[in-house]
Amino acid sequence: ARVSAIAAVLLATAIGLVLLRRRLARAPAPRAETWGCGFAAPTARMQYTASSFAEMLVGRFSWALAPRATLHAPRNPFPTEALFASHVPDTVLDRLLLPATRAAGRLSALLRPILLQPLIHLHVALLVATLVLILAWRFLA
Amino acid sequence: MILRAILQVGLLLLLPPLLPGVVSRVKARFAGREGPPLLQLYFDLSKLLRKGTVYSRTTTWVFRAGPVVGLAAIATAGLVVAVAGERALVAFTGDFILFAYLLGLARFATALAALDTGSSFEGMGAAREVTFASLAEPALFLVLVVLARATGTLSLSGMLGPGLATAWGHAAPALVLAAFSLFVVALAENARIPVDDPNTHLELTMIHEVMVLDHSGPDLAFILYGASLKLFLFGAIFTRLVLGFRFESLLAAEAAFVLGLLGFAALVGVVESAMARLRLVRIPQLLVGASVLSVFAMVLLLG
Repeated sequence: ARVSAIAAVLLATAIGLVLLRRRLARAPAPRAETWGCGFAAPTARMQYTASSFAEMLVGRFSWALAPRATLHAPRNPFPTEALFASHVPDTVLDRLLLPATRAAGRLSALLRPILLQPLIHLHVALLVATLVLILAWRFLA
Repeated sequence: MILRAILQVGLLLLLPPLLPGVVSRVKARFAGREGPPLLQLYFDLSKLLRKGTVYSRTTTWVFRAGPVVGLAAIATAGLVVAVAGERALVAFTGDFILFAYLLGLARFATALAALDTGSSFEGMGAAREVTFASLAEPALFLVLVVLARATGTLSLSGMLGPGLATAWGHAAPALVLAAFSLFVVALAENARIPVDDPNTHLELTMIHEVMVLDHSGPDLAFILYGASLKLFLFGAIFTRLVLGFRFESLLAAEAAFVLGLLGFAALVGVVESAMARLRLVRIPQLLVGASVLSVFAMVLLLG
């Protein structure tokens, strides 16, 4: 209940400040360009991207996030082309879960010719053995 | 009871702009100058509130919400801080987590507003601030955990209240380490030297100043006031931690608190005058060092 009280105070203060600001600034605010440190005509090639903003934080936690980067450095004087691309894969999904499920698929592919021969007796024997094991575990453990 | 609440809220709302004034005055005196008046920030805030705002064409509602959410979050965080050793206005078990995350919400709103402008200048500042905050937050939590262990309670009012005097009696070394670590965290969270220079305006070196570069008028007033309020909150915890003893009358407690707070601001000014800002790659080491001090304090308390 106290936490809800604090949340209510937070919302009320925020709304109060918005109303205060609206009352203080009567004239419509003029619009201008963002102050941009001297770049008169920036293009997308020279802009910071999202990955460059996040690079500092990702680098600090690179032991967990494992970013991948591709770099073709410019070579020779008067280089013709260069390439840099970085990519942060989803660590748990791409490095743990997907390889684990692929390995499980390979294992079951190995076992499939052994366990799934078209012999009824083998299937029934497997069923009875599993049932006996489960009952033994239940009553002996 | 009502008087106590009024006194606390009044102190929380009216005193903060004095602290940056004290810091600037101390820095100016160290440099041999006279310095701006102590009440300069009050004059600045009233001037800014009367000014008009200019918004960039790139910004959206996120930019307008940033200063408002930031100031609301920091002011709400002030409700759980025990001022002058009395019980806070709202106190419950675990309120220090709420305190830390309300401050985190304020920082999130400011960083979002900085990214919303589309300027790479401010985006870099937001990136740096968020990276250092990811290290300062564990340090703050470790200090609060040491306090919780020393006083045996899980509420800020208990940690900074009557139990602190007995805690100083039997756990003084741990509390000294925690106080030092808290001072480093306070410098980091409030963007002071050695973590960030509040007077620099070079792209390569700005961290906090650059995030608020595009705000103007009442927005800037909210941000400046919020920054002074954050300094007040950290100073309140530090002052209560250092002046751990009990006072008889409310007036004596409040007077000692205010004097301690001014002392904290003076100490920040001295540190700012005496050192240069650390290189950006050294700041994580500084924050990890503060965390390690708190871990040592915790080890001392576990015995």
